[in-house]
Amino acid sequence: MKIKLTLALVCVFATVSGTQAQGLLKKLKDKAEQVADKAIDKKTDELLNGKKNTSGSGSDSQGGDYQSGMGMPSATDGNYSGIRNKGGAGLVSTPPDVLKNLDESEKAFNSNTLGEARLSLQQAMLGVEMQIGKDLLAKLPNQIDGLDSDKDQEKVVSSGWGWQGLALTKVYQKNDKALTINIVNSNSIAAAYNTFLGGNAYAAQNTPNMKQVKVKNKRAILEYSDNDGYKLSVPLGQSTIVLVQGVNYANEQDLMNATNAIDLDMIKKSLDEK
Amino acid sequence: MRNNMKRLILTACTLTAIYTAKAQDFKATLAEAKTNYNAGKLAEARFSMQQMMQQIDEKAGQEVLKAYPAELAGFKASDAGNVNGSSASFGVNIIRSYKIGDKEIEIRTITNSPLVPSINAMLGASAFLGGADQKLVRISGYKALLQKSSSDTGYNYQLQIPMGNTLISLEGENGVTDTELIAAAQKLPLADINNLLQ
Repeated sequence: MKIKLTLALVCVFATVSGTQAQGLLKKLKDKAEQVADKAIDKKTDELLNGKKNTSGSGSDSQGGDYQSGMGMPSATDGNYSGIRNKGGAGLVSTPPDVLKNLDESEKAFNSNTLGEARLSLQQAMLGVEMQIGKDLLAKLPNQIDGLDSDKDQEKVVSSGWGWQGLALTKVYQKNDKALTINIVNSNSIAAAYNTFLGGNAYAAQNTPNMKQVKVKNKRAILEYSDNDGYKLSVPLGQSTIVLVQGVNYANEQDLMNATNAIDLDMIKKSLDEK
Repeated sequence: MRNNMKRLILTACTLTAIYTAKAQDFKATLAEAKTNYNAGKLAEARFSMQQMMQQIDEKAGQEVLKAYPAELAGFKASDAGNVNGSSASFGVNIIRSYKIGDKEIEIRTITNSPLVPSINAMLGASAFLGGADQKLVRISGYKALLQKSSSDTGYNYQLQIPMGNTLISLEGENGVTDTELIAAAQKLPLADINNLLQ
């Protein structure tokens, strides 16, 4: 009975109500924060230790395991008495060969080893998504609102699964002012936002730190908190959300002006959204 | 006996026709993916690959249905089963039912779903929650959770067998006992199913 109830709850979660969309919103916000926090921690470590971290980062993929942008725990979180890692060759950060993996997937499919077929196809999808991500990051401006982009903090994350999709991060910073753009291409998350925006649950709520706005004629959600600053969520098409977070922005109009520098139609086209 | 043989041959022919059609679909979609990729149309190539993933899942689902026996401890398959969903969305569902008289066992296999790991984690935790309505059992060497729930006609039993990114769920209706459910589950080729779906 418990499991039936659980499975039923899971199905409701999958269809996404307005109330559950809020929970997803919070999850997405938390993930965006984790990405920013990890980037700040990395920079702090570099400053304290006086050397650059040479492990795979930036816009390249380390293959299917590279998911740090989505909040996976770091191997360096463990404490070893008297021992600290002083360096290593890092990981090979070459995206998977798409055509080679497609050929391997075909061979495995024909020989009925479907697990191998799926794995090779996932690697091919990963390769394509990493390329899509890199191209898209390159098309975003180098400067927004007087803030320069930080290439070291650029991230492309792909699971190769389709349902989890693709996530990109680009950070702009100057002194204590920062703007982070997260682009998430995921059916489930986008559906949550679209349902939340389209449903009545939002209209019925009395939430002083959240409101609906328009960005270049597209419906969006603007939030504010003293801890996190401003956050703007713009759903694009069926599967994409653009999240813009502004830290130490004086007011919402400044953030909206900064967001207007982002070519949302270009992002839609790059991700094949209508 | 003759009718069963006829049914078996018809099923085999239908499945062969389906597999041939699906293999051609996969080949065509693969060609499309390669063409789009080589032309620099990455978003289209990605879409084609998502379709290919669905085709692999469909084929894997059909192979699992093929692996299910026609009979499980006296319960006979009441349908050919069906496959729906995709690992590119919320996972693949493979469903088949078995019957003796009014008693029915529905077997639902969920695989490559983002939800299965969290369900499997909860099942693992459930074992420690204990209670009179839950029992840990072993099915062909795999740990499983047997659950009992009340209904108007007595008790219903459910058996969940987590295997990596796959969850096999057996649900008994209309008076299926726990012993019957476990006996039916023991006849499932779990190792073969696991290999097909990993």
